[in-house]
Amino acid sequence: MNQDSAAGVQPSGDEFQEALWLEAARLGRDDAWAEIHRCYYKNLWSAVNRMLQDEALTEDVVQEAFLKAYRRISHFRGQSRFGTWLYSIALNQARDTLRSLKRRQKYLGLFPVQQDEDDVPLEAIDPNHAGRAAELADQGRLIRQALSTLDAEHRAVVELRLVQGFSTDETARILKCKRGTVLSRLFYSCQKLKILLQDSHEQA
Amino acid sequence: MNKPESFKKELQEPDPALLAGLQDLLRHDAAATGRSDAHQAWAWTRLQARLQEVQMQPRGWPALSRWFFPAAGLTLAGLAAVVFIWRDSTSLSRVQTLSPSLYASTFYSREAGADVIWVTGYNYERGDSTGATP
Repeated sequence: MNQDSAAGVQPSGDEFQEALWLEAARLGRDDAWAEIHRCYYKNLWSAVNRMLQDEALTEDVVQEAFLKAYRRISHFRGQSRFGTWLYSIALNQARDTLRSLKRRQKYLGLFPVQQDEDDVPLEAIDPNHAGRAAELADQGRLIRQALSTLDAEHRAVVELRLVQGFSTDETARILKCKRGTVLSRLFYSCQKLKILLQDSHEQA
Repeated sequence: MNKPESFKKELQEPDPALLAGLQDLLRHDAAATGRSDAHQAWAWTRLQARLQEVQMQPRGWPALSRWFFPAAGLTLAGLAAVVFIWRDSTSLSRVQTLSPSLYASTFYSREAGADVIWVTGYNYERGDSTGATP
């Protein structure tokens, strides 16, 4: 399996090879799990991090997702692709983590959310405030800032559809929502990102 | 039901040119900020240690640990409640008849930490009232 595929949906495109590894993984073979980890870790990390926007938290969530997959591999019947199944576990884990974080912040209020240096308020990158936007020379930062104005569910749709290359149906399956919800979130996210990234988009 | 135009638009795939543009930007960013091979190797070592822990656990342990402790806790709480109620109810002594219309009962109140003498016109043993007001 090749880890560097652009789409990330099917690391190698070689389903036969993957089926062999999965069969070995079902038997609990370490080398099979090492291969699965090597193939999916980076893309999975990227998807979860896009949702959580916290690297340390992402690391824990991804590890927990692999552990769950390890425990539940006998329940995987191959009705969907393994990647879809694994992403579904990871993003649901991320969603649960976000929920418990919000609950903790709501009831305790002791640990204010640490603002990343990239977390600039929407007004700061609004095209109406072009002067401020021009100061943010780094395109990557601009993208991350624009994404941070979307909520986690919308970011997950953008990541899965546009970056990881999943189809609309697969994205719906992973996020356990309707196809229409995915399309609506994608539409809304694209419109918002289009406005926020207009300058950098034109340059690109 | 007729859906408004704007809603119909939302349920269509966005403009392919816009999608492609955003896709380029996002993938470029993902490649620049993604995890390196070294990160992956470190994460695998970390995961491997956890997998070995899981392998060491007896089969079915996760399910057992998930249900056993809450179930045991609930059972203990239930038992404690039953004992508490039983002790309280046995502390009620016999109802004494003071007169044809007045009855008295003595019991120990754990809350008050003292004996309580209760005089009433209602006969709790017979379940009727003489109508007398103590």
